[in-house]
Amino acid sequence: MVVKGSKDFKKFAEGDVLVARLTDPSYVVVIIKAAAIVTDLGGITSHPAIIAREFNLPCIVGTKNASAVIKSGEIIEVNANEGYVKIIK
Amino acid sequence: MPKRKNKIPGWIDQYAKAVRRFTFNHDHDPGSHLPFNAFRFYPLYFNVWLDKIYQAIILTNRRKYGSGKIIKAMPAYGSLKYIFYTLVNMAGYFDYDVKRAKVIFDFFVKIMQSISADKNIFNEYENILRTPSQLKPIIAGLKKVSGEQEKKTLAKFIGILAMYNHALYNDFSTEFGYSIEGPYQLNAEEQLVIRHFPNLNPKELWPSLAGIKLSNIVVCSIYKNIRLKMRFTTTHLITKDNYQDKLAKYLIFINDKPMLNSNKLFALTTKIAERTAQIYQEQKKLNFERTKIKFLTQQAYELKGLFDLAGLNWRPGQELLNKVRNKKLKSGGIIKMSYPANKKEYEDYVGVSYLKKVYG
Repeated sequence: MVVKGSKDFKKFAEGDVLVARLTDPSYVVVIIKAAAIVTDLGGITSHPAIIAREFNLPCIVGTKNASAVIKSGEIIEVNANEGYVKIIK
Repeated sequence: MPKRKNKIPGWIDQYAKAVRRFTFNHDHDPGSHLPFNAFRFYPLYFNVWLDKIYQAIILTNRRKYGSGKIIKAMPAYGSLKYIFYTLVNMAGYFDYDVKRAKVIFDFFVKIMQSISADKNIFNEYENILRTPSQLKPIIAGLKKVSGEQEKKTLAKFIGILAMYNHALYNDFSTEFGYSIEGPYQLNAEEQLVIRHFPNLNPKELWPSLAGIKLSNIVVCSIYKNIRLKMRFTTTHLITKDNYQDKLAKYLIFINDKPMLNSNKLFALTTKIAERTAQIYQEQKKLNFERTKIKFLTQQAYELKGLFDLAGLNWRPGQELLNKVRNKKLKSGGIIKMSYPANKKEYEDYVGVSYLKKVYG
C-alpha cells in the first residue's frame, strides 16, 4: 500500500508492503504490520533502512519514484537480496 | 626543508579512514534526513555553538573535576563520535580559531580514549569498550532464545525503541538515545552486541513525557553464524544477513533490572510504539521556525551534562537563536554530491586538512 501520510495509516493492513516517499517515526503504527518497506528516498543509514534492519523486514530505499509508480492494491514483489521491486499484478 | 613543529596525532589518520564511507553515503542521501538536512543548517550557526562548547570546556577544566565525573556527564560513545565529526567538519567550514579548536578536539579525544578499550578510537566497524574479562559476567547471564516467536518479539521491541529514539532526538542526535557497543567477537561463531538506550525520558525536550518512569534500557544479544559490523556512527549495524534470525541468547535490562517476562515486554513494546507516534505527531505540528529551535535544543541536550558541570545554561542562548531566526537552510556549500577527485579534495572535504592545520 502506498502511504502518503498519517491519514492512510488506518487503511494499512497486516502483511501489506509499505510504499512511501520516506518513513519517519510516526510510521511506527504501520511498520509493525508491514511485510516489507519500499521508499523513494534514503540510503543505507536512512530511517527506513535502520528500522527495517531492526525489524528484520526486507527493505529497498532510494528507488526515486516507487510511491508514484506503484498504486495501492497492486501485488508487488520486493527482492531485497537482489535490490529490485517488481509489480506482479 | 622546514621541519614540522608538532607531530600530527595518530588518531587523525584513524579518523580520516573511519569517516570515509559514512561521509559519502550520507552526502548522497541528503533528502532523507529528519527533520531536515542538518548539514545545510549547521552553516547558519555552528561557530557560535563551537564558542559555547569551548567556554564549557574551559570552565569545566578550571573546576578540576575527576575524569570519572566528566565521563559520566558526557553522552555515550556513539554520540561522542558523531558530535566529534560535526565539530571537525564545521570548525573547518568556519575556519574556526585553531587554538580554540584544539582545546575542543583534545577534550573530546581524551574522553573517547578513556572510554574505549580499542586503541583506534575511530574504529569504523566496531565500538570496543570492554575487555574480554569485563564481558564474562555479562555473557554468563544471558538466556537462550526459546524459538522463532521470541526472536520476532525481540526484533519488534528493538525496532520500536529505535523509532522512539528517532522521534525523541531526530536523525542527528539519535546516538544520544541509542548507542551500540561491540560487536565483540566471542569465538569463531558468536558475536555479542550491547544496545544501550540510556535517555528514554527527556522531559526537558518533551514535557508530555513527565511522569513516565522508563529511563533506560540495555539489550545484550549474542548472534551466531553471522558477521556483524558497525557503521562509523553506532545506530547503524550492518550485515549481509538478517541478524535477528541469528539471535542465540539475550537479556534485557529495564531501568537496570533484568526483564524476563515476555507478556510485560509485549505490553511495553505497545506502550513505546504509542508514545513514538504521539511524540512525532508533536514534532510534525511544529512550523519551520520552531523546528529549528527544537533541533538546537535537542543538540544542546546531548551536552547538557557538560554544560551543567561548567555551570552554564544548557539551552540554546539568544545569540544562537538569532543566528537561525527567519533563515532558510543553506543551499549547496558543505554538501557535495560527488566523490572527491583526489586525496587533497578528500581531506579538505572531511575536515582532515583542517585537523592537520590545528595540529601541524
